[in-house]
Amino acid sequence: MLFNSINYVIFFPIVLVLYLLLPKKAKPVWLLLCSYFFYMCWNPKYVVLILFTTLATYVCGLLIGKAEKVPAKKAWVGVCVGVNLAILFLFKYFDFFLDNLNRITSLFGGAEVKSPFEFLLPVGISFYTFQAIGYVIDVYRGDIKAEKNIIDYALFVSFFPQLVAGPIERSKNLLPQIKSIKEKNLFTYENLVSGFGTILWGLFMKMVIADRALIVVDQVFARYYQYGTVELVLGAILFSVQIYADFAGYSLIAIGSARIMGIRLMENFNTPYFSLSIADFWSKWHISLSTWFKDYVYIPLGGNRKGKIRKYFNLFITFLVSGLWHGAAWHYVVWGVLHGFYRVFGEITGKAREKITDKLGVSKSPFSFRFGKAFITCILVGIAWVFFRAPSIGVAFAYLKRMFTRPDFWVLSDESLYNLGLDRREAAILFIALLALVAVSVIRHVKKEEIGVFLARQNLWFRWVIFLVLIACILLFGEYGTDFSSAKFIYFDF
Amino acid sequence: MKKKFLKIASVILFLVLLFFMIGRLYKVVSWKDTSGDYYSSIDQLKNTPGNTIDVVFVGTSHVYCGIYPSVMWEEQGISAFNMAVSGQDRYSAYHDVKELVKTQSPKAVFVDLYCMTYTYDESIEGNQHRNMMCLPTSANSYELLKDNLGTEDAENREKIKEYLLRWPIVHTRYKELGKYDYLDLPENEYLRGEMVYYETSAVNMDDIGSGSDIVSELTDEDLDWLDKMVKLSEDSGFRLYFTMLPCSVSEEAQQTLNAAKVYAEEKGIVTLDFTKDHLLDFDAERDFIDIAHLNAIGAKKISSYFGEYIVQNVSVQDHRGDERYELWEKDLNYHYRAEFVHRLQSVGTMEEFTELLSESSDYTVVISREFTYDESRENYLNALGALGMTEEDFAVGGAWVYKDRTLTKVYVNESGQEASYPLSKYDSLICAFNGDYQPGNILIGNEDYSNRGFYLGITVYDNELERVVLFRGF
Repeated sequence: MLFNSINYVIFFPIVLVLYLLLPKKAKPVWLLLCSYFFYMCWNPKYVVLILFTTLATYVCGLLIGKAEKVPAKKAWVGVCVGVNLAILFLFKYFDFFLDNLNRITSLFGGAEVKSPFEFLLPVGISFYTFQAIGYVIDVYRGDIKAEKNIIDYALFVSFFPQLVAGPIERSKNLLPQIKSIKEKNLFTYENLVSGFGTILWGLFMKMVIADRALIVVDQVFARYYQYGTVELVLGAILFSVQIYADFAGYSLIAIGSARIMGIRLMENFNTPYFSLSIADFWSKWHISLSTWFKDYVYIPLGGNRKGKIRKYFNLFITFLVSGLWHGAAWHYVVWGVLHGFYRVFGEITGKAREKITDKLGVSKSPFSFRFGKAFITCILVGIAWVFFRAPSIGVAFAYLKRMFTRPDFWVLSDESLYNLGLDRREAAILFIALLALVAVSVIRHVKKEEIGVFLARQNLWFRWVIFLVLIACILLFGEYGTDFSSAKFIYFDF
Repeated sequence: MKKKFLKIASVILFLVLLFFMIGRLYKVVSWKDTSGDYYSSIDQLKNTPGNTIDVVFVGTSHVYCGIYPSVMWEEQGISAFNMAVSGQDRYSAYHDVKELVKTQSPKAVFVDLYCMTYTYDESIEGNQHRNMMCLPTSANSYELLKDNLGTEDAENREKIKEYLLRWPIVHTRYKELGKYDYLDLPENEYLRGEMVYYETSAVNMDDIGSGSDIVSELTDEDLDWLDKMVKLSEDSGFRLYFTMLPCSVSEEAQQTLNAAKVYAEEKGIVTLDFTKDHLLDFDAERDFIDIAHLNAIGAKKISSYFGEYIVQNVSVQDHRGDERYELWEKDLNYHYRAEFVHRLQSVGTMEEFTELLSESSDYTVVISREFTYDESRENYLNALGALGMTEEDFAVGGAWVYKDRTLTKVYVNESGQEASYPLSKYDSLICAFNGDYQPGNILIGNEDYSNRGFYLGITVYDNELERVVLFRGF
């Protein structure tokens, strides 16, 4: 069930109304049933996987909690993490592994090994697996007590708003909230209003911006070999917009849905394209994943506690794993490695760059300095996105090569840009929607609050006008319906 | 408590506003026509007083082009209604009749069998949407979707959902919205389902029908549909007839139609087959738009035939003079006007043209002389004299409006200033002089009626329909 589908428009109000009407003790059970129904709408048989992950991590959590000695705790963590990663490997990475193995063995004349499995990638497997693994490690570290109530725990793993594409929640944040459902009424008018506003803006980002930008992106990346600098730059820029609007939009719908029910999910995006450095970017982009990697990969590897060289190595490894998490293909790995390189290069040259700026007498306080830094960060991120979006590393390099070597500035005036899938009207809609996105991002940046919360604080008439305009725009200009088949969230494949 | 009440009230008020907005927006983006150009037989049916329709015609474009209820009204006083829809498939025909009998009690329904020859899947996308969405959402429209799409296939279930919700299909219409998405097309108030066309092209009469007499075996779906139609006629108390209006059909389709005729005969249902048995004295040169569609001249012949047939075989009353049937009177008046415009279009000389124009006061006529150099002014002056044009006035050029038998000068060429003249609530005439043959000299709305290669341009604006119905250059 997609968030931007009529099914969800029907599903969510039904869930909400019964959630409000049911006695407190029954609420978690109701939400759990709804979450499993939500998951099974994609592929009922894969419910077995999430059930297994839930039970395995639940039991391991209890065993770790009961174990008195550290080696025993470690053993249970090792077993639990190993088993869950093995499942993830089998369903997500096995074909990739086999493909590479066959390539290597073919160099030595080895016979091709065919996969004995025909698995579809289970939706959201990377998200709920990481969330459950995070819980087990938290219990091991003593950050949280092992959860005894299986219903509460199962709901923590499968809570439908964030089940298939995050945010990847921490047990410390979500589990206590789930437990409190039985104790107090979490539903409030303020949560309803701000959650509703957040959902609407998320839908606008996804349906009006992301899916419209996608039309040009698909065209440019599919036929990159016939385009020059301008189209390829436009394609890269619009992909940067698309992936942000798509994923941040999805996260906002998840956050808004949960907030209406009184559950606060962690923020996943915080104006990432206003970042002043790559390090800053990763503190604002897919925050739930980047902090997960920080907490459960980077720090266990030693973090910055074991010297600079080790720190760089740890950073590099963390980004490499992050790339692999995004997809079982080398171009994702290169994307991760590139970001790792950016980070390490940034760390190594940081002081030198500071010195140069000081010597040149460049003032760091004006807006222009910060704008310049943000602009350079965007360019670096945008180049990396080409590797992410291109179907292969070869295509990504060819794309970038053409981008820098085929100047065709006349297309800016001969209107051929309107042949990239969006005519004048559609391009104007996208442009106006992007202006709205910038405005909302500025509000988020300046006011330090998410759009739903900001709107909830405004006067009633203003809020209503914004809500009604957003609904009208989504209904009219949203990309949905029979003529549009690509209404899939990008991050569902991860 | 008070605060809580206010919060609940604000949520309710917001929802009311939201549904009102969605309703208004839907009215704009909804699919409105059944035969193109915003003409909607469903809207016309909606505007018809209950239990006034005695005879109904159902079918594809063959029917809305070929059957004019106005002819039957004029000649016999029959209150007929044409419920044809472009590319109407058989299940749409069935459910459209079902929709009609909710508010009407027709005595006879004529169903054109051509709709049997293709299914929903074989229709073009526009016609699929038109047929699936022209009925208001109800149990009947849901049944239509189920009949055409089935519920076994997940993709079709999704389609059914989209058709029921409408928005997933119609929202992209924001790209093509026009005046009549915001306003009701005036004709939808009173037309009786037909479309008036005077376009003519010569056809080969041998191409009508396929000539095959072979009777094929009807499929289960064919039989199911025929039985459903028969059952509906029994339940609703109307007499069912089948028709085959003149058109070309494939050999295979003809064999199915032959079989349907035989099956109908066994059930005591008459089929009026104009591809074979009832070929009237159609004029291959004048009566057709193309091989599948009659024009107004051909339609008049066949509609007259139907009128006489109905009087002889169905117990119908002559409703002329009855106030409840004023829509039929208006419909007839519309036909007179369409015929008048056709005559204006067909006359050969300017004298005949202006003489005809001077007979009617239903139109605002814009006369523009933009080509300043001419030596045969006399010829034009003779013709325009019928509208009250003087030589002095004509000599300086410009634009005139002829309305209510009065000629008014609204613009003098080279006066240097733009002039405007209100034509209706939404349309104004804008006159300017940008030079000989230049665009922008005569504008009505966004349309340019400037003379292009003519010495004199005459634009005819229908005051009732509030739009230009004819432009001729001389």
